[in-house]
Amino acid sequence: MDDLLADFIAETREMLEASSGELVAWEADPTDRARLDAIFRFVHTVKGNCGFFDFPRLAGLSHAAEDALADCRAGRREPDRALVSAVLAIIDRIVQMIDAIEAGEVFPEGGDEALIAGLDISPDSAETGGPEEAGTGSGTAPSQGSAGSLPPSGEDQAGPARRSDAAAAQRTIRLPVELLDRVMSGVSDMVLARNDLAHRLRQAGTQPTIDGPFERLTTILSDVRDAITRMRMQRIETLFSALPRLVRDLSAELGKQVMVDLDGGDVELDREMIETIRDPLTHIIRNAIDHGIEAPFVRLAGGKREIGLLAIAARQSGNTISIVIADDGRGLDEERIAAKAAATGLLTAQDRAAMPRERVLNLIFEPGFSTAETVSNVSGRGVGLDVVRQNLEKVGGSIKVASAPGQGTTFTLQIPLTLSIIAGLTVEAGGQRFAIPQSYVEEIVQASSKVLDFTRMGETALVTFRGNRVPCLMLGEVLGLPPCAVAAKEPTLVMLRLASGDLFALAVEGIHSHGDIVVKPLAPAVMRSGLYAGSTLLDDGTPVLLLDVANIAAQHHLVSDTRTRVLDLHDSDAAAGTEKHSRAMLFTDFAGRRSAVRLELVQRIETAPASAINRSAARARVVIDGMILPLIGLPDEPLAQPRVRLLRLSDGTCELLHAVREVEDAVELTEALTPVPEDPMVEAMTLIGDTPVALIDAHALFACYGEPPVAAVRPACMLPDGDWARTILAPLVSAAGYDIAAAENAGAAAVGIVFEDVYEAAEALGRPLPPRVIRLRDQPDAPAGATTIYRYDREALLAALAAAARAAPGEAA
Amino acid sequence: MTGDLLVIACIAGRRCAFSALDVKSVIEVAAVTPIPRAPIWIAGITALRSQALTVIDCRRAIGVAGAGEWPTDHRAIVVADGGHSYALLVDGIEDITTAVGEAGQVPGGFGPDWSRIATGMIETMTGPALLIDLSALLAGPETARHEIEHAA
Repeated sequence: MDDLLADFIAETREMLEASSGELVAWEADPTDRARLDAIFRFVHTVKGNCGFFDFPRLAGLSHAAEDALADCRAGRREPDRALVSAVLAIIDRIVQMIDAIEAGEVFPEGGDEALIAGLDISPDSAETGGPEEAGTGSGTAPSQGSAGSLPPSGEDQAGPARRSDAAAAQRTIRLPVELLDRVMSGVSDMVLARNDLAHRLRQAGTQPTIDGPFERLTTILSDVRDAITRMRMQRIETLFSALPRLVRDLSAELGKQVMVDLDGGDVELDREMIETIRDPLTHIIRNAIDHGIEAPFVRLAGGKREIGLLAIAARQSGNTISIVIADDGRGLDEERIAAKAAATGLLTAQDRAAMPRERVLNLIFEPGFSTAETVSNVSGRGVGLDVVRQNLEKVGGSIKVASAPGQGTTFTLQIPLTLSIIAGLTVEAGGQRFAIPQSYVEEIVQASSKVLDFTRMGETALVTFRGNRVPCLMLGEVLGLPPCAVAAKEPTLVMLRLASGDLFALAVEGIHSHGDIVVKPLAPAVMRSGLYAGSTLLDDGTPVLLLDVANIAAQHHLVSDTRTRVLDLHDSDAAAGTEKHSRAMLFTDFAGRRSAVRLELVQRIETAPASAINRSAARARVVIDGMILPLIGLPDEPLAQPRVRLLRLSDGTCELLHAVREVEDAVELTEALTPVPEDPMVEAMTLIGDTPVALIDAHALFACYGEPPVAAVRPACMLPDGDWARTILAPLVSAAGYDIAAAENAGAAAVGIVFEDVYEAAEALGRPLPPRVIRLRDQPDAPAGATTIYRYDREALLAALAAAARAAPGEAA
Repeated sequence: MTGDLLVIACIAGRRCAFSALDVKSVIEVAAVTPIPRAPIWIAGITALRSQALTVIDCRRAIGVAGAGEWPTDHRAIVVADGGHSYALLVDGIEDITTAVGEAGQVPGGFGPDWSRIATGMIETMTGPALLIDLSALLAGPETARHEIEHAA
């Protein structure tokens, strides 16, 4: 096919897609002049373009429609429902012909005359309609069952999706997607090359002449990467624009009246993702109109407006898009769903009794489920909601349903922004790294198997997590890797929550990193193993495999609603029966003592590398998240292990870290507390599981080691100009509790440090000086009666700063 | 076929030919990440710039006996099939040459394993070679495929 023809087809399609909503809106209000113009332009352009090619039938059809519309525009004819239907029928025929031309097929002869004749039918003979709603803008279009000659065309009419520029204000060009992909992979290559270069530069040490331009390269590259990602994005409008027509055709076919309300068409997502959700969305809309929204008379009888409302909204939040499809129909019938589920063996009577409504409703996504007793040709085409859910889960999305009887049903689709970039966690098993999509990760638990109550039941392993027994898979075993002794004794558990709500633990040997990963597809032979969803490259260019969590769980039969629930320990009952005990974190310190600290004090458990610990001062310090915090509990001898577990304790204002050999678990203090007056650091001894444990006295601990709270408002200090002040004086001043301020934004209370010569000059010239000034001199020997301080006289300088600080609060406050 | 460029490689001691049109490049194989539980003829994945290549051990993909005993070239042939890129591990990559004549069958065939993955014998400027049918090669040996289907 030559390029000209391809352009013609593409342009026609594009215009049609853009005006698809207009068509329906025009039908709702045939007198709407703006819509009439849009449609007139469409047929006019088609007719004009046909002149270049030899398409007499296309030309004939578009000419006839153009004539009829021109009559309306000129006021020679009133547009009515019959005319609208006839014009729509012609446009449908044009689309079919375009499809045939593109496919290189011959379109079956005949039928055109009938369509053209349809334009001339008098309004009275074809009028059937019901009450009519006025069109309320491009997003909202009422539709109803008019008996036009229009064949239902469903979603097929839109043809392959192309870039729709309804606004047409932006200049656009058409590009093949492969070219975009090539540019994208080129940029990915550049990012990798940059990482490699960065690595080498770090090895070579600081080189100011290279580092500057390299920084610039990095910034530019990340900009380009963003832009390229945007290039793959498409407004969800392309998907939405076909919906009014779909709803119109469906409601016409089913004799219902449905108004569709679209919102959030400007949300952008990956164009491949749009293709992926096209079918699920269509399916849900079909269902909503077929099963959800009642016939007009039923609605009136139920006290509702006879026109049903179908609201479709898209929203972006972070890296996910949620699409909500809500109807105000009869709602889902919990009892019927339960009965159906029981009949198909998805549910037993016992399960049913214990199951909340929400869970019952979500059974409709189970394989082999369909409530429709009569299978109409609209819904129930053999594709159930289970397939919808499967397709969404394949791309990392999810679907759920909520419904109130008699008030309507709401489907919520959650989909990732792009197929290709997801947040991932890198874990290790059998000495090899694997990635897990972050969206599944509920929590990461590091503990000894004793604490986790790790048990094997037959072939299945179970762990206890928050009082629940949770099935546990060993990643090494799942993948058939050689077992690792460390992992068995002290596994790291990644708690994974499936879209179905099931929780399971995956035991791995270590966690490496998390961050955005670019997912690449895997060869089909590898995908067939069912364990992997793709591959990705680490920063150093090593490929790692992305685990298909949902499939792994399914292979191990962990995805069944009934199973995990049976395993719930009745801990809620137990908790209600006992009085509330305070809780403590149990740990073993470096002296080998088992100790506990009240749980309220523990902010979190940190793991710090030994290199972050500084023991040069009298009291050890550790750097956590860029903050220097006091550290206690270290052994006297140097640390043997490369990393230390630390409990981060806080009394609300002060923080301090307690190094521990091993964190055991959070326990309840059920036994009596025996005071230990001889050890000031111990609040009491108590029994936990028959062994004595020292409960640390938080009061004494913070009294001894808590860092004095940093003053909320630090006094400001202005420094003299020059390198000396910046590099040598500034640290001393900040250590004395001052903020370094620039002259222009320092408050009136700020202390100024100036050199004597500057001070004298300023005084002589009458320049403003800060109210409190510390004057420095260059010579060690002071002239008699001098109020200046030698610039290396540390004690005097600190004393002066302290005196100024004492004077300051009154004014600063 | 005559005049077409062919890449000649040695697989399990046999001279085999790949159509040069199929061959994207020849690369030095860097570290290969093994894929646990993948079919045996898939050696793993390796990175070619930002692309991930599936590494296929041709000897195992054909299913020759004693596949592990052959030497492996440090270079691999990169091919694309069905939108995925593969790196083919072979004994050695010899040369690029020109075909003289069409691919043809020989009386008695090449043996079941080889017949499955071969289009036929082709005469080249440097002697005869077995012309490889890429998609048949990438599909892997029959027996292994059955095992996978069983397992699934």
